[in-house]
Amino acid sequence: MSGARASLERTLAYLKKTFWENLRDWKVLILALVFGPFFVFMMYGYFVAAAPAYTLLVANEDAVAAAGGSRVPAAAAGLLASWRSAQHPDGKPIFNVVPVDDAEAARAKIESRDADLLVRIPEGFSQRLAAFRDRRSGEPAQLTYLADGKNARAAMAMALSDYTAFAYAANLTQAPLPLSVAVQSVGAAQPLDDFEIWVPALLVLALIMVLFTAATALVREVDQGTMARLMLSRLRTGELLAAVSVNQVLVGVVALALTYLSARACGFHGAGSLAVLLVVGAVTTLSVVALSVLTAAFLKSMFELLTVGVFPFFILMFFSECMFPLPKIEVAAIAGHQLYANDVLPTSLCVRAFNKILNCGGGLADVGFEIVAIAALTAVYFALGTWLFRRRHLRV
Amino acid sequence: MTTSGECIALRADGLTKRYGDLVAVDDLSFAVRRGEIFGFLGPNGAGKTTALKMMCGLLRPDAGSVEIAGRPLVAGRGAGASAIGVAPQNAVFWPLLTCREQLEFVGRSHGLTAALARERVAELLAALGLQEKADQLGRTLSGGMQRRLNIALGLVHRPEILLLDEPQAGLDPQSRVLVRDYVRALAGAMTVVITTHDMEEAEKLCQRVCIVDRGRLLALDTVAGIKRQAGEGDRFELELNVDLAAALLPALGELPAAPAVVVKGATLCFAAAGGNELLARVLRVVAERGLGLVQLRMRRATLEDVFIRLTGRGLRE
Ligand SMILES: Nc1ncnc2c1ncn2[C@@H]1O[C@H](COP(=O)(O)OP(=O)(O)O)[C@@H](O)[C@H]1O
Ligand SMILES: [Mg+2]
Repeated sequence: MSGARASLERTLAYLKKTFWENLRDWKVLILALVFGPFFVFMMYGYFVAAAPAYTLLVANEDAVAAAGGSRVPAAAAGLLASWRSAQHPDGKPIFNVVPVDDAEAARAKIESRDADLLVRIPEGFSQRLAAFRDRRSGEPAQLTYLADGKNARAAMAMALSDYTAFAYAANLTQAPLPLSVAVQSVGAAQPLDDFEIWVPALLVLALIMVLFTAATALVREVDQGTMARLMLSRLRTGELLAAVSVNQVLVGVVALALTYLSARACGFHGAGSLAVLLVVGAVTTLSVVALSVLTAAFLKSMFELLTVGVFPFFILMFFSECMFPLPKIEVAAIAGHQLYANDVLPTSLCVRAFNKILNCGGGLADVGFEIVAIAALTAVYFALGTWLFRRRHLRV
Repeated sequence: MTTSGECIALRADGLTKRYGDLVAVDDLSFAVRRGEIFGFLGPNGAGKTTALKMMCGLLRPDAGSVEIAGRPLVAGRGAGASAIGVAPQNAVFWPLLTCREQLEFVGRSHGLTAALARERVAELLAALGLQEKADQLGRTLSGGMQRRLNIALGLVHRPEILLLDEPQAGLDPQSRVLVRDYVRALAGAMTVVITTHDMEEAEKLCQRVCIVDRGRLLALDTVAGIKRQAGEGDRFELELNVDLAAALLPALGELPAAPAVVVKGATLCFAAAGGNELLARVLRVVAERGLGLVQLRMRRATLEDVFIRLTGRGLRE
């Protein structure tokens, strides 16, 4: 048998072995495979199915109660009705309008974020609008907002509340609106909703789980002492890592497919090519395997993997912005591509590539830079990981 | 006896390993002959496992060297790959693979073809009584079976030298016999180095043994030779029907290896090497003088006696 052929045979023997071990260690495998879909369904529930309307607390101090034949319209009541009838394009209400009397209690609810916005309609609100309409006064009627500036939902609630209120007031006073804004999005024809924005990150999350299955495959040999048997065989480190990589890329691709199908089941429609998505996914999984080798170099037991090993997992999840966006730190631009500090994590580049493919309909050429960058990082992490792994676990 | 390089399977020269201040293996030199079963005898903590790991290249000696069939062994990965098979002290196997799968994998990882690996594995499973559990996962095996699998895993690639680290520990009597017979059958075709703290087992199995304590080699010879060399010999107790034991003394004095004798009334106690010959003479004297023998007890020297003599202490368990 030639050297290359023998090497291939040993690699295949190890591949078969690690495949069965991976399958029989089904708890870790299932965890890795359902993690992505689980978060897809959760995010869907959060953003779409339960689409929580913005809670508006309305303290109405306007005295004009009924419209009737009075020359003064009951503007506060009309505005409340406008807010109540405001809808998303899919027909879901935008606001949950709750009239309040107790200002202190209302303020507490804003602080605790049980409500997004407190709107005070002042006394004389209707009279002001009537005077404005009849050109008796130029002084505008006024609404007061109270919000928690750190609550991201408050900003959105204010913008939407403004829009509804202005439209209502303009209609009531027959004042023409001087400006109209049309919102368009980049790439896809439809504006992105929150759920769609998150799907690429959730797909990458599924790939990050490979960190556990891949590191498990390696740490297990150390933990159970079988690394000594491998060291006494003709199996080379490169063959072992190649076999583990192939098996784990398979796990990553299956996890990616399951997560994507889950998103589809929730009504997500990716714009770009699935083949390109798989290519980027496979390369990224390989990079996660490389990081697993690096991680495994520091771990001696399965217990350590499930405790200390959680740390790199969170680093990947957090700095790849799989959970929430982070401020961007620009470091360099290569061939017109901006690189950020967290792009040292291949998964961060992958989130961008997935975004280009799924939400902007990008093809292979559009994500070529990301693929090359991820592959380069993979090579660096593999080299570093293999060196450390050898030093820590294969040195006699 | 010849010790030419030709029939030496494994030679250790000045092997030394330190762990901090502790010298686990201290300047150990010995040669294992091709085809023999060589015992490495010593109490717990003597340095047997440490020495064994250096013999297969899994541990780098601080000083000294190992030669396998005349070739120097370089510690490191794949060092003794094809020449050495190992069954570590704590059974080392893959809990998530079946017996067959892991044995075949080990064969493949040593470069056997799939067909050859299958064939060897079938033989090994049968020889070590693992056939019935061949397709069960390693983790579901009983302790005894795990230990037998541990041995099988070191044998798939047909090594020249098999290193067994306390293979008998934790085996039930049936498995013990099975393993002993199997190892005996291997000898000749294969060189076997076996560590144990069980003197009896070593006597039954090994052609030659070395006694190690605190990392140092205390004796190395055949089992009989070691007993002769270091032991006080076999022990005798003769009780006669009359208080005339002293009458025997002159006769004993004529013996070639004059033993130290203690007389307690009608009982005569002595110890001497080469028990059989001595016994014959003593009985002849008893018969010649018309004395009546009430009781005769003889206890053959054991390695344990030798061991205690050499180290000045009992086995530490
Ligand atoms: N990795 C290690 N680190 C420190 N001390 C060790 C290590 N391995 C063995 N020792 C010590 O070396 C001595 C010999 O151990 P070992 O070779 O396992 O003895 P044996 O196999 O004869 O029972 C013991 O005192 C043991 O505690
Ligand atoms: Mg030991």
